[in-house]
Amino acid sequence: MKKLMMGTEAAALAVRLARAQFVSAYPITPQTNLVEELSNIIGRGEMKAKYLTVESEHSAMASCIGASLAGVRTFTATSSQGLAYMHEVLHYAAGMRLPIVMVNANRALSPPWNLYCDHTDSLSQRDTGWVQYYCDDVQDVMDSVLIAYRVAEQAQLPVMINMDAFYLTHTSEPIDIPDQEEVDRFLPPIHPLSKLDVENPKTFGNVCGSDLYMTMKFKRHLDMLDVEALWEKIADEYNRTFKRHSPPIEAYRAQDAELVVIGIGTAAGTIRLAIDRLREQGVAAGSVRLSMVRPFPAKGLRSAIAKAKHVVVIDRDVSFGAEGILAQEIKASLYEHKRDLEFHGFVAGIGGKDITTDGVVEFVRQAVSGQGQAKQVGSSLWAEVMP
Amino acid sequence: MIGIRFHGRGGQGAVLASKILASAYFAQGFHVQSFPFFGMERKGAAVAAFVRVANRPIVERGEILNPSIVVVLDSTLLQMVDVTRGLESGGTILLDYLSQDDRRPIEGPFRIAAVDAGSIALEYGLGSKIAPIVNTVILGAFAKIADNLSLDHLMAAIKASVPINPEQNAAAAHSAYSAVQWLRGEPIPPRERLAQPKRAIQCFAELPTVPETRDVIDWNQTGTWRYLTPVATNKLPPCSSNCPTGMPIPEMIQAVKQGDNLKALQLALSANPLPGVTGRLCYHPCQIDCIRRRIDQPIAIQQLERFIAAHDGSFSNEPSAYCPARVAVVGAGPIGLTCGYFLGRSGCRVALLAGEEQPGGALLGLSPQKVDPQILKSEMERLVRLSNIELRLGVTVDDHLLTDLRSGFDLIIVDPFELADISPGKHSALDFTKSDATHIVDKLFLPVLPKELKPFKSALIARYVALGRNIAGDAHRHLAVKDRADPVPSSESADENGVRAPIALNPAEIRINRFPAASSPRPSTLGKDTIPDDGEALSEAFRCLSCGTCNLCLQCISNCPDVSIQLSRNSTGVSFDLQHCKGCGICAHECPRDVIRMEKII
Repeated sequence: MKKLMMGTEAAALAVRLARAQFVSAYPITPQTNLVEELSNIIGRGEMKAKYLTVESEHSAMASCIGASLAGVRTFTATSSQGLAYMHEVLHYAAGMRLPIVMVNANRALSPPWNLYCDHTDSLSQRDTGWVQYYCDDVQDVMDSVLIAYRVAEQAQLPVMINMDAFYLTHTSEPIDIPDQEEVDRFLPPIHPLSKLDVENPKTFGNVCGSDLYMTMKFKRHLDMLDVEALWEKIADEYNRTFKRHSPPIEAYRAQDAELVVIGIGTAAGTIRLAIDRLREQGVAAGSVRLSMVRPFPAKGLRSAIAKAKHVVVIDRDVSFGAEGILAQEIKASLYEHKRDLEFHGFVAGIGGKDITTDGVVEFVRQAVSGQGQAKQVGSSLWAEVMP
Repeated sequence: MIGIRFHGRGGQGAVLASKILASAYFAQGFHVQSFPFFGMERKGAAVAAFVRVANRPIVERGEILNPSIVVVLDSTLLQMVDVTRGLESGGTILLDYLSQDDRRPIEGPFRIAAVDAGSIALEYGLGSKIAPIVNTVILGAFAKIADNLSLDHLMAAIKASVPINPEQNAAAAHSAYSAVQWLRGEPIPPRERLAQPKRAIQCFAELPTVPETRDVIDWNQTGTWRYLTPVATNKLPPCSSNCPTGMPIPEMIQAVKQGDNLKALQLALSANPLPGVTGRLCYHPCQIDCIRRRIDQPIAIQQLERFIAAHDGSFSNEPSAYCPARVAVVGAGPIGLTCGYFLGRSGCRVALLAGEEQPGGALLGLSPQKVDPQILKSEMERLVRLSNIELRLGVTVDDHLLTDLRSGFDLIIVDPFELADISPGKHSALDFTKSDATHIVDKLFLPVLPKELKPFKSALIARYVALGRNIAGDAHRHLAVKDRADPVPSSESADENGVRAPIALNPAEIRINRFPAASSPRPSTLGKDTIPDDGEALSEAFRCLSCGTCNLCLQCISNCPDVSIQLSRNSTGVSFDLQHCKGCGICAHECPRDVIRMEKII
């Protein structure tokens, strides 16, 4: 069934289809519609879940940890400052190996106050141990939430589904809604590895000496690395059932491309249009959408840019005093394997500045020619900053 | 380089000792380094601290794996920590405690020195008897055995570092310097190395995915610190233990709380057949030690007893056992009546003989203000009915009667108050000097009346009832030897041993109202001679704390500073986590029902 939906509504719908049993969230623009919708769904009795109202995002995540430890399917959603406020407990959720799924609406961090799209909020949580997935359209929001539960519960790791503020949260698009029966077949009830049990009391996250601690972290790292293949496998299974693919990395006309533009989130669609235009102009261009940032799909990226001589990265974020966060990630992952590259890191579209097809074509032109509007600062190019 | 490791308990000052030692060596020109190993921040948990001393700059960091000297500030740690771990062969262990007899023995090729650190600390006013502060004391001993540390430098470092009492601390160290002695001067080869504690997880494959642990972890255990251990036992509350008849008062009040007044009456009658009489005449020692007195006023047990007695209790008069014996009780005063009652309840065929035309003996002479004759009458009627006593009133009580009775009865018991009517020695066949509780002569049982009970004092009515019950018990035991019948429990025999069976109240059934609203009637508002109505009795019953019996008020749990008390399914409702309990005794102090007591159990 096709229906016109905003990203927030699609996420709420996916949570209902996933039969989440516990939802706790604190409203924040532009996530507010999502939790309002969920509380309505639960209030109308369309979903058998406990909705816990809390006073902050920190408590939202803390209560999700408690609920998840109790063995139920758990959901929360936040954005920007709210995600930052969760930071400490994000580590806890991942360290406890809890399959919590969270939707984050990517919004700029304050100050100055800004409600619009920016990826610094979630990318600055990349070391918390959460799987991070970035959606490129409203359909992907709904699909990836369902996939996320399968991955989270199999890997025993929490998953953060990211959607661009307003470009997805408040943008209505027609999406295909699966039947509940089909979803139930794809996503069976949760079977937690371990849970709170009054008959068999346990302490979770107890004190632990340095030798065991380090080995525990090593194990978590290995399990996190495995998530790339696990997501791929489950996304393939989803694709076979629902005919829609949400892979960890998505290449577009990149096989023979000498120039590859890399981006995340909704910019990926715009980039694809720019690639088509560049191809028309005879440029052997392709693009890569990194839908997964943690674990970082290094292997997939290396094969996608095997032929490239130029790599253009568009960061909707920045690490002050260094450069765009994706640019650092991509460079680090290529260092061992591919150094004969011209690397161009653009910082663009932060704080809700639109990334346009013309803009992307212009970035490519500047990358190749060395001439253009973007300001070069160190190794990054800042697009559309005031003169 | 010398590596020194300190073992202590959180709060003992092991870390400070390591710093002082490093300062002293530093003042002597050595290169030094001192650092603690932080585990759990928990008072009493095992902690370690380290000192490196060298003639060259020290650049290495981290735990000293092979110390040459180990200093133990609290030898009770030997039960839980392997203080010899990594210690060099021929290395030295310095202990705080001279006699190691009650400690785990230290084995291995080590020298052991010791000083009675606790006594020296107390001598200089350092710490308390329970927790002497021995860190500077042990350093004085260290200076002697280490032979490269000057006592003067050490004392200077102590004075500069301790937060209080610098002079006493330095003097204590000086004293320990002279007092330390070698327990084992030469290393001895190990008979058997202590097995290293097996690690729960040995390899990567055994790692759990979810970081979870069962039971307690080793890091913060403090149970070996304890020298007094809390023990929870349900015991007789002061009301019951003060009652001469031993009535199960908390159970009776509990039955009232549950609205089961007949059960309350049955419980009362199991120990006292005349509750309506004792409820008016007795001086109610039950209320003297009532724990509720600590909060406001004692429970009005006497009035509750009257309330309970006022129910007619038309239950079955089926005796609780069968005994073929025929018993004659001479005298129908409270002693004779009670004695006849318990024998009748236990199945004997009882005839109660009295000179008067109605039963009651001395009770009949009381003024109606003390006890309403109507109540007295109904109490005695109930007694007679429930025990199937055959009343033979208006008989002439003399020694001829006794002779006559002997042919028809297996035992003749004479109420001590009736003996006045029988002239001793009048009848040659009777020897009135010989019969007592243990000596029944020729079927005749002449119980002795304790001095303080004569002449008859109405306020001591419960004593007469108890005596009657005991006489019945003795008589029944005498008959049971012959007939193997069930003995009657005695109210006072248990007292002699100081042991009484705990009252088996089910904690889950107990309902209490600790602080009823001010409008609730107080005992003082209950008239001394009135019978409380149902509402008043219920409200009064709810004031009862059911003490002696744990009723899960959870005062102990909420006051335990170490979270070492848990709810449990045993009869007292709580259990203690002895791996962590430090024996502080707060639970025993806080327990409003005296269920928890501190005992000397290691």
